[in-house]
Amino acid sequence: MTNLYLLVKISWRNLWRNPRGTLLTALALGLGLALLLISLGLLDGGHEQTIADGVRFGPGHVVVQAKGYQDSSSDELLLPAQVVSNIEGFLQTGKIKQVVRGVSPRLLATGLLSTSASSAGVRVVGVIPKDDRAVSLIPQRMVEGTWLTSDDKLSGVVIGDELARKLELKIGSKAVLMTQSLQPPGSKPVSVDGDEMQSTLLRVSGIFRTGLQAIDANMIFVPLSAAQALLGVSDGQVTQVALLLVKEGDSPLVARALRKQLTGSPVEVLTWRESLPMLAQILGLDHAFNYIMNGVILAMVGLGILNTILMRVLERRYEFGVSKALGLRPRQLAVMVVGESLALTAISLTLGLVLGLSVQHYFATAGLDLRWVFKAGLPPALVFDPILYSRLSVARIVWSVSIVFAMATIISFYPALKAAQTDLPDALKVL
Amino acid sequence: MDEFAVKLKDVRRTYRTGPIEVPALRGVTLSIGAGEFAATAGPSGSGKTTLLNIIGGLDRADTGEIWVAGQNLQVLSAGELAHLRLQRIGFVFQTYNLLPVLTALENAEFTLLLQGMPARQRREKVEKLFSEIGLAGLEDRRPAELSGGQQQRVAVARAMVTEPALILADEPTANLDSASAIALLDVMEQLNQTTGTTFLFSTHDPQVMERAHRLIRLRDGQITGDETRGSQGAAVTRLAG
Amino acid sequence: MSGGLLQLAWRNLWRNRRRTFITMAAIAFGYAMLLFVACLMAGLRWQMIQNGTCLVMSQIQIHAPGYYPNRSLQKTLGGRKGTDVSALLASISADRRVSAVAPRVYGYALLSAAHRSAGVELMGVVPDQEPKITTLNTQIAKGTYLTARVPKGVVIGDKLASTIGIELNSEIVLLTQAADGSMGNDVYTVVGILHTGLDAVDRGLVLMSLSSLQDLLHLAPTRIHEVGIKLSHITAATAVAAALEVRLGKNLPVRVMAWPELAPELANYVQFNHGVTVVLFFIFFLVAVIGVMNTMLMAVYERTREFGMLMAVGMRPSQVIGLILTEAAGLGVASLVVGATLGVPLLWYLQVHGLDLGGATGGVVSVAGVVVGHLWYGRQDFPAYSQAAAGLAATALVSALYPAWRAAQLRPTEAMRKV
Repeated sequence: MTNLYLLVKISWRNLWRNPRGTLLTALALGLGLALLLISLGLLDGGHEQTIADGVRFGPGHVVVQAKGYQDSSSDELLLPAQVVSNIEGFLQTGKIKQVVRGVSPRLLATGLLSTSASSAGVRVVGVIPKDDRAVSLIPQRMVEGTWLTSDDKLSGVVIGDELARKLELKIGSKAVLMTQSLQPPGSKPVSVDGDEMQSTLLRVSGIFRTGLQAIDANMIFVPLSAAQALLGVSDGQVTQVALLLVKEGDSPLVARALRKQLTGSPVEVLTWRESLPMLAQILGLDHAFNYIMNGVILAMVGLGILNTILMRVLERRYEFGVSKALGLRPRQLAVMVVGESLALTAISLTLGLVLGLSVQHYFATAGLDLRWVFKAGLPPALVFDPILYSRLSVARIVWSVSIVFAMATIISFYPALKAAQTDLPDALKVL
Repeated sequence: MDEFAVKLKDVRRTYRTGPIEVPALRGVTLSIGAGEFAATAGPSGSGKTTLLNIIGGLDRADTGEIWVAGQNLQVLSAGELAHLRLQRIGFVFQTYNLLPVLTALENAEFTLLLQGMPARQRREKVEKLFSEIGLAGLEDRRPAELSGGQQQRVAVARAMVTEPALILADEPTANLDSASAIALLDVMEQLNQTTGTTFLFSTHDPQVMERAHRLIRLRDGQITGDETRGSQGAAVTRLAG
Repeated sequence: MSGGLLQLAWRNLWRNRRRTFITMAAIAFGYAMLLFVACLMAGLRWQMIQNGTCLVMSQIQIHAPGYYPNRSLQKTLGGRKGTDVSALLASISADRRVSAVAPRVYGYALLSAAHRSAGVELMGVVPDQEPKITTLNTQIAKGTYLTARVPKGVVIGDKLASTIGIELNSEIVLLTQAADGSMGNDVYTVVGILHTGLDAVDRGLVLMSLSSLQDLLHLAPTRIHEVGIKLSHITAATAVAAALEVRLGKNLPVRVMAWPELAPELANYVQFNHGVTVVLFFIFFLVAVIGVMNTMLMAVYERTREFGMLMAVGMRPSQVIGLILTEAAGLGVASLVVGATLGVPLLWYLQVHGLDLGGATGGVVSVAGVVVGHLWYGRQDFPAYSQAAAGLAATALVSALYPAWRAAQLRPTEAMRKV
């Protein structure tokens, strides 16, 4: 075994005979790893952001609804009030509290909003203003006026800017909302004015812009209690309770906990993958795209490693010839070459990690500003954040380093073999 | 026109590798006349190769004056030195240094190519020279297909073909068997007689030392002896300087 | 560079075959990968635009000035008199870049059925012309598309159907404010149910025949709100729109809008996506560059002895550098050609067959209001291809230049001493 030690010592020293060459090679390989880490971070970051943006305009990471709502979209399917308080109580307890950022109970219905100019079909969303602010992104996208303030009184309605434009509404304008009483199965019918249709006069107190046509032209927000009164919902029922979590990855966990808590009740607890299957599919696509891109980078890095190691071996035939002539066995020569490659890889990976992680850290905090793509100037409303934040998990880092290391090791076997096979008289010829 | 092909005055050259200093030449003063057939001799490390390299502009002296073919080498740039080598000096190396990808003919005509001579003229010159030095018929062979002696002769042809004023040969017979060595010396002496080209080689081969008309001995970077032999075989010692 | 030296450069490349091949492989493979990535990314971009515009919107829309975005009922093309619709359509089609046209009418109504109602958007199309410009007719989940046989047939979205509680062949009532101020209403039959995956369509759109809608709205047959246009090359959209506005504007006041104006969120997303892909492509490019630079540097560096010898024989340092650069250029070009050759079948495959990501996603998907399929097609992106080639070639040259320059700085003896 002292032989091995000697070989290792020689391998290490061999690397440093030509410090510039060694460092150059290490830098090249290290850069490959660094670039892999950077692109992984950006792609993963974009992924997370898409999820966050998607769920915050809708049902959040986890949503609780009346059983069957997801399939039927029937606004008459409501959650009983005690389920809502059950949920809220449960989410205050111990560990669950840490992972939940916000809880928002909502009542959803369709209606017709009219002014003297025109009318439009709208989706009415009743929310508790403070609670919804913790879950939805819409309160942060106000362009005029303010988000809902009062819990109880019908102080105003918040609408999208497309809707405002269509109906020629401004802050303070009035519009008529026609809705139909929701008649949840099993509840006693409430007759309002003896008529099925209910109309109310509303005052616009806030206008938002998300950039998503489906939201800006369709959705209006009123306080929850007001919506309940309007729609003849008497017992504090809601359509859904939407939860926003700290980490997207906790969704299945939280969903499971809630299901357990609510066994027996006629509810369905869905993670965003189930409530927004379209988003889940986009992300499947995104994921596949990322895979392909990563594969390509890995292939290129692998080739780079192969090239580098081959070259190093080729240019040292003379030296190997001398070693062999002096009595070094082919196997020992091979071990030496592999040892050098491993040492070189180790140095490269260290360099790569340092470089890659620091750049990645920059992108994780300051973000990659992509606003330059909008040559004509930043458009007024963007659905997505034009600054891409990198996000790299420890698992990813370990995965990348392991793969590059494995590649380098495997690749170095071929040149090691070639080195061991160095033809003696041939290799000793000087030019 | 200077009647001296080469003139050196107190030339010094020291090599530095890391902390180690090796003085190769320690004050050499020497003049070589046009048309001479001279050799420098001495043990390894005596500085004879360094001397040749400096005269040929392949290396630079640290101090001292060097005049070759009327030019002061110390003031020439790398490009100008190359130009001088191309036009006025021919170099023959110990290890032939032929370009392996070119044929014998292409190797020999390489210097003419660099001078810009048209193809047909080049070919004519080389073929003529080849027949004079016994390489006729080997024009299209690559160096790998030639014997050591033949390769060395191609190297000589390459040096000669530009009709230089001075040919420097660094241990030209070191890698040849004695028959080839003698043949090579015959060629070089013949060329010296017919064209008047100055020849200076470095050697430690006794055969070569015998054939030189003037023998300059070097030891530890300094000249220790300088003898000229007349055609009668009488040795006339000329003092260094 | 004389012929002899060119020959030397060429032969030098083939002397050490292994080294040359390794270097070539670095450049060729790197280039092939870049081609692949560029093609895939361009394809995604194209597909997004295609899918975003093909479903309902169409690529260019023509309206009366002031119609968009409020879509006021009265603002038909040609004002209250209307216009000769077939003449207008023919005039538009005269532009060779236009591949199909179709007229549309829009309205809002209250849809009632059983005991429920909902506010809906009405879209009146010509059943045999509309499918030429959009693909909504392929999204029928149940029943059929509009046909001439059932003039009072309507197609509605599945979410709308379930909200209202109606099925195929149900009857519905549409109640709306007509153009003459009266209330228009009529009964219709549901002939088809749509599923697009887009909430706005599935929950809020009712498709009916153009003439039926004109009847409902009390609009004369000469009055339409919009002409939708499909182009043979979608990239020309903005240019064609501008040209049409000028040409048609001579006879009829029009406002012609291309899809970036009509769907700014799509345009924004496409641009953003473009930005992301540019960054990614740049990263890939860097990886390729590193590979090339490394190999070239080493390939030239280890020939220092050889260069010393050339200089000893009489070649000027500048000539030596010239020789090396010629070799590098030749090698670079040859490698790029090899890389392109490797890439072409791949590119062709991507464009014609596409990359099937079905396993990962299983189905149709919507991004920023746009439906993206799971089969990814590539599109050719020649500017990217040539930029990548130029970049790699430049890298090869610069990488060869540095060690060559360094060797040329040495005195011949020093260079020849290098092992």
